Amino acid sequence: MVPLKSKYRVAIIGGGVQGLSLAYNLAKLGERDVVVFEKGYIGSGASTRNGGLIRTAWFSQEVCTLMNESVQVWEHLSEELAFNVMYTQRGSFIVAGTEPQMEFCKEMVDLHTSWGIHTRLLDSGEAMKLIPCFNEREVRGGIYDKKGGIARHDAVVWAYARAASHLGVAIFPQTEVQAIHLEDGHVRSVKIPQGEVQADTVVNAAGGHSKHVAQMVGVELPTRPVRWEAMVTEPIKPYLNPYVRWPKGELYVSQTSRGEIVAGVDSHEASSMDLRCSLEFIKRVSAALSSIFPSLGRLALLRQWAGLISISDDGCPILGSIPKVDGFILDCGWYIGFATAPIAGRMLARNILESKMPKLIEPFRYSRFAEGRQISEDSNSEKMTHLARLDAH
Amino acid sequence: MKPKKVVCLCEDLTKEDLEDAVENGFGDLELLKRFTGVCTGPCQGKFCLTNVIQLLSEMKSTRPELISIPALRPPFRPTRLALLAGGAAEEQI
Amino acid sequence: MSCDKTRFARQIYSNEQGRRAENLLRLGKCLKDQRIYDHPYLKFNRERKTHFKFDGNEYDAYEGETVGAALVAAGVKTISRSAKYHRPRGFLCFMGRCPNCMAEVNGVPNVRICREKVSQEMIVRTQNVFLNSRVDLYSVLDKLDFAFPVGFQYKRFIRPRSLWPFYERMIRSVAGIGRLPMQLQGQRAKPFHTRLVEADIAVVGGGPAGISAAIAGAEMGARVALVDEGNQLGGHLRWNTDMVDSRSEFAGMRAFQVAKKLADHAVTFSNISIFAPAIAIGVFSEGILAAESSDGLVEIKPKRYLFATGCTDRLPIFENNDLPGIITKTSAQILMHLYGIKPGNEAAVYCSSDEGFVLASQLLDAAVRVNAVVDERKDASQSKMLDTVVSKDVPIYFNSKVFRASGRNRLNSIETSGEDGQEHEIRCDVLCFAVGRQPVCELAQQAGCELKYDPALESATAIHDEHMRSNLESYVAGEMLGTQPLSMMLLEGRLAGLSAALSLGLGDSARLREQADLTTDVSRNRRS
Repeated sequence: MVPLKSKYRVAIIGGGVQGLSLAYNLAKLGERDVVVFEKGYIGSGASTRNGGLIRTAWFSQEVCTLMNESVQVWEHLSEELAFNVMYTQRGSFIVAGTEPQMEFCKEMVDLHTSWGIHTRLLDSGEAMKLIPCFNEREVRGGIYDKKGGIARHDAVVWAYARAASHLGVAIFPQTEVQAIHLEDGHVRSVKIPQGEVQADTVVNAAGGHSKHVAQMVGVELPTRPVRWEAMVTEPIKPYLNPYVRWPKGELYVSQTSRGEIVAGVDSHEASSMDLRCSLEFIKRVSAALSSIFPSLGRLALLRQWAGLISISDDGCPILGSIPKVDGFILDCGWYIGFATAPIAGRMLARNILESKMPKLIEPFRYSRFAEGRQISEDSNSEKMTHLARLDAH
Repeated sequence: MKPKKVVCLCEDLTKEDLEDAVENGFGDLELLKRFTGVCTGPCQGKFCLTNVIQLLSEMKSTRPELISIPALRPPFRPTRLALLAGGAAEEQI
Repeated sequence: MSCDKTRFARQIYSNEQGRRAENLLRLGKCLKDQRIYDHPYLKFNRERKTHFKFDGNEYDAYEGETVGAALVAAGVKTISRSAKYHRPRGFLCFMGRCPNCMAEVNGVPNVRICREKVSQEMIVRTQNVFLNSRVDLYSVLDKLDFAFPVGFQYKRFIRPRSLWPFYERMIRSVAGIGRLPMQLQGQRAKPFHTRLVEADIAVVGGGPAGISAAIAGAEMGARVALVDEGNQLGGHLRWNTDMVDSRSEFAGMRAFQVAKKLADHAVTFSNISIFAPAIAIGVFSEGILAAESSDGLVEIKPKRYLFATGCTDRLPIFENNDLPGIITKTSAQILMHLYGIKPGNEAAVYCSSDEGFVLASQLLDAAVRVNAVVDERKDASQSKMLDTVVSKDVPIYFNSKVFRASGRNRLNSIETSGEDGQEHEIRCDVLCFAVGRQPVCELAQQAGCELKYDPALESATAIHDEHMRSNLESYVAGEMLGTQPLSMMLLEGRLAGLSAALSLGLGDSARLREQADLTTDVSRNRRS
């Protein structure tokens, strides 16, 4: 364990995949005077509770572009970090079950192409060939993204932590940041149980607790904490290759390299900090799974869990500096935090070192809410779900 | 059959495997679970949790009561999705 | 001081057993029949017969037997292979909690065959093997373990990147246990239902503490929902034949008789709704306790939870402790006393309390030869049960531990070492162990109860106050707190049930006085 110093140039609050990726990328770019404070064990927040899903096919240009860049980093990540993060690109598929949905999918595929994302519209025959366990009656076709994939979330956290440590970053788990002190509108230090630690830059990468951390500097983030549940079945032999999103069932599902089927819902709960598990969740997801994959009904649920994330008003992350407080950088509001960690870490590291926001993450700036420039990711996604309920005939 | 002292029947983990993992920096029970898979298999810790806590306390020279017990999530035993799906499932067993 | 007798009690098979063996020989069937036909206290119902297939071989079963019981009766020891090294595995817990007995039944993967009732023409297959459970070519992985240390996948397969999809396909094909068909071709079967139940008190666990608690609550007018995973109420009492302790109101009776008496009493209450068999799934954030019954989900919304969920037997760690034939005490008792099947022919018992002597005695009653009792305790000077075993000439090794089990694909012998340095090799085909307990406290934790390590139990269990209350809504009682003997489990259960009902505003001053008396009795027992 490295000794704790009294001053660092950059202090990152949150030892999840975003905070650790940022720490690593800062060190890689030459800034090694970095410390990460994590109140639990590393990755104890949403980072090791999510489904580990990565795809480029989203519903807004901003998110699609970001994800596309991220996937290019994912493809080399194991080599870069010298740790196998088990990233596998088995594709992803968004199911369309009605004609209106197919029409919308066709529009999306055209848009994707214009944004440089290479997705393809599949008809029902092609979809059944790709995923033979589908319930044919629910599938008219859909959007196939060959760049979709999954990675093992724990491995990603450990890989970034190890790589960052090797480059000289100090990581302190079980160390909660209790307060942030300002001086003349600039961050000065953070308070941890061991005392005050000075920092020139403080990054809020606190995930589900980022709203609380922002309040330490008097900033109210346009986010709300939301319980996110997931569930996993017993491991079975290969059953499902690509990861699947089924808007009608508001379901996402994938099979890990270990053989477990991981599934969850794609819609946001009401605000909640309750991390207990709900019965409604497993009933709902089991019903959806059994409908879209009938033979899956025979499989048994092994475990369910919950994590905390902070969702912003447009469902997209809030990144970069804020006008009111100098030296305070946001890296939060993530719903897509796992998939974008490799690229977000790189971009934010540049942001911090060059004091300029890279173009790729500029749409996610904090000021977009005041400017009325929210991103349409959520609204388009909801439209796809809504169209699933329309009877084509 | 090679002589093995099995601690985790589900994931086939021996006492040595767990000791190696702790020595490699996965000494927190939560990290040990994730790295080795102990307590995450079909029995969900019913046959190994007590032994793992004992082992960790010995390796870290700490009292077992200081090792936090992880969240023990539902279901108690693996439960068929068709049953949870209730009447919504089409084909039942 | 070790007790080193050299003479053994001779096991004489009954005439009935010999007659059956002759019949079987005449019919050309497998001679092996581990069923008990003559038991000093129990009678087994064997009327209708059925048969099923396991890995292509046909086996007989009597109505009411599970696949697991029928296989043990036929002398089948190896029933599966372990996930990574494909080591042979046999039945361990017989409660559906361990991973050893998962098999494919009529196309459904990962079924716990220890609990799965046999039905006509059932097809059972071992999963994740190359050939079958007895001969699995993947078992070569056990010898190549040096190539697959824990976490090896994080350090390998990184370069060349182009080969990663191939490696991943390989990992996926060896990972996973059961297999699912892509599409179902079967008949439409009856749908599963959901039952919604409102209750004042939900009691989880229908053993002595749970039944006692349910009765206490019901007597005070509470609507009680009692959930138990057994076919009948009674919990561990059902599969025990020992005399209950003299302090109990059932003194003079045997455990299984007490189980029936308690169960019969519970059903007389119209305000106790019994859900058995029903396996609790969990306690959820909606304030619901869900359970899985044979025809669907039961959702109970109680005002109070009461957990009397008992314990699991703790696995002892020694070389080859996963060999087929190494079973829990509970497993041996369920086999002998519920199904009337001998767990083996030559047993050894590994214990750290008088439970070992009780078990040895029960094995002898079932005409199983007991070659040794290995007791971790220094001596048994405090024991009241020692005589039952000493009088039957069973060697007892005190101050000893088992350090190795041997056998090729099934248990043949164990080796023990004592603190005095003495080592013994004991021939046995079944080792029954009772060396510690792990309380079942998942559900209590989900209900918000705090779990704390109990040094006496060497395990964590739920905290509680003197009225058995664990948190605002939850109460706990019984074996899950390490409580012994039966008389105390009954008292604790009663106190918990009474306290839960009082907290709901039910009862009167007489009940309050009873609560005070029970509290004194229970606290006194805990202190001692």
